[in-house]
Amino acid sequence: MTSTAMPTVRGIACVLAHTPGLLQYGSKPTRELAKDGALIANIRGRLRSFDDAVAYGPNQVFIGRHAPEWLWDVPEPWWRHGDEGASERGPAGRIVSEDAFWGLLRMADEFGIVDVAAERLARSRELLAAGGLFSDAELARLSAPAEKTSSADGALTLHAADGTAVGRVANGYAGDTSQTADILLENLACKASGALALKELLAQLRMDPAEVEYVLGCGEEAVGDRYQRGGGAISKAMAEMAGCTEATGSDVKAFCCAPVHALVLAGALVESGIYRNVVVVGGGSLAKLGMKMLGHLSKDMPLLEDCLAAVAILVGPADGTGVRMRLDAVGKHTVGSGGSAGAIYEALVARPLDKLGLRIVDVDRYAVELHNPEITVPAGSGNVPRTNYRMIAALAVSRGEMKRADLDGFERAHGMPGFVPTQGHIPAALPYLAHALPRLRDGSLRRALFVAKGSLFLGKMTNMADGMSVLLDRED
Amino acid sequence: MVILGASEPAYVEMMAETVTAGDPTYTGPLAGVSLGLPVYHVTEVEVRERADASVYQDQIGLSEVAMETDEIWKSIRAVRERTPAE
Repeated sequence: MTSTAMPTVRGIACVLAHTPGLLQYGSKPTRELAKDGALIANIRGRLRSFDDAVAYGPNQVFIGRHAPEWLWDVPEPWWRHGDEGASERGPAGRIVSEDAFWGLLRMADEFGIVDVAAERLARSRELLAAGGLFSDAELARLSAPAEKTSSADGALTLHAADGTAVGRVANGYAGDTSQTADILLENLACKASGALALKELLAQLRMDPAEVEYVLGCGEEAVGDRYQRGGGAISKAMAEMAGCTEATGSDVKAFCCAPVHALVLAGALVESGIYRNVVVVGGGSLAKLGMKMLGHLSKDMPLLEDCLAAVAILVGPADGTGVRMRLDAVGKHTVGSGGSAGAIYEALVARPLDKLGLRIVDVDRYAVELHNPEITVPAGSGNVPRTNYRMIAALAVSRGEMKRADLDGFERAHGMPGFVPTQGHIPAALPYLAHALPRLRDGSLRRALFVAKGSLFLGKMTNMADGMSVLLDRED
Repeated sequence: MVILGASEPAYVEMMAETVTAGDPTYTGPLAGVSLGLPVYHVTEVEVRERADASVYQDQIGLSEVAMETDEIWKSIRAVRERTPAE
């Protein structure tokens, strides 16, 4: 492989849908509400307004309005110190309100599963039209009533943040436990948010949707029916919703590290010459809304897990910017790698850098699992990126590449604060591309390593974890 | 006996508290339940001296370099002193 032939990342879109009304259908809130229905009042009393969600510093970083490092200087708690210059639009993406999202959910539905009140849809249409991503023709279906072809049994009611009923979601095929209303809502929320990210990406790059040839989904939802729960290809459904008429697609499943697997596969599809324009897309995870809510409620905090997050990334051939995806040094955690933390970082960080003759400190920035610590720490889940940075730094110390005394400073020197909502696969390193790409292009960053791990053991098929990493650098 | 492996001192303290006096965050099933179990961190001398040195190095070595062990030991000892094992 010659260096000039290496594929590159051409763009990334990061979008958030603020969906406080849907928070109650996250997995944790659903289970807690089943035990104690009165909890709904506590939940609704702790939901944020759209303006607060927009002004929230980590969300502004996610859509690219600030560098992650900007958060070092924002006083904690971040939720009390909203960004006064905040905007719904940033260089990397946008934040849409639940009022707009009801319309996206309806547009994502091809089977009359989602029914939303006409006045709500009219408002959604207005907001989405003003957003500029969807054409009048695409928005036309928001004027038509839902077809109501699916079973009404077990239908689930959609609520706005204040508890007002705004619509309903029907079950799919009667008696199919893989298509209950809650599962279909989860999948449609993933499709709608992923398609929004794809639309945003195409708009950012001023790209004809028909130029997209292949879409790799990297979300965690199980799309299918009773005979193939998790059958997949939500990617193609998103491509259809985004108007990518020449694309097909498939999904990559590897828990939270699926996005890095997908990015490498996208690079390989481009490098091999099979396709020129491959998009990696990850839709939002409804199941993870309110996941840490008990910790937040116990500390009188707002419920910060109120946004669906989605990303779309275009991978293509070298584009003259000098930014390269180093497919010659992909890091992977193999079956034989061993399960200790040391073995995982050895496989994902040390080995790929060794291939390139680089030291750990030669990488300017490490993008790890970028979970927002303000969400995880109050719930006892620790500061995830910090733990990762300390492990990478310890590896550098053990290899004699760094002094022990510099370990504490590694996070600031080579890392960043977590800024991504706890949406599972979405925090897995790739949102940093929104910040790394412009800097790799202007030369202020030479190398960034994207490292993600996946908790395969959660699926009860193996005790193993997984991990993948890939380096982006700037050709000298 | 409970052996903890978490790397953040505050988290270690919370977990240690959970299995001794009861869940201090009142968010889990051990809220208000005082188990009074003996609790140690895997890097404490009481544990590591009982482990095979090569296995310890292989499984814990790098993590120990990354951890603020002084802070972890201080936190967990304080919990043991506050709520001695029953």
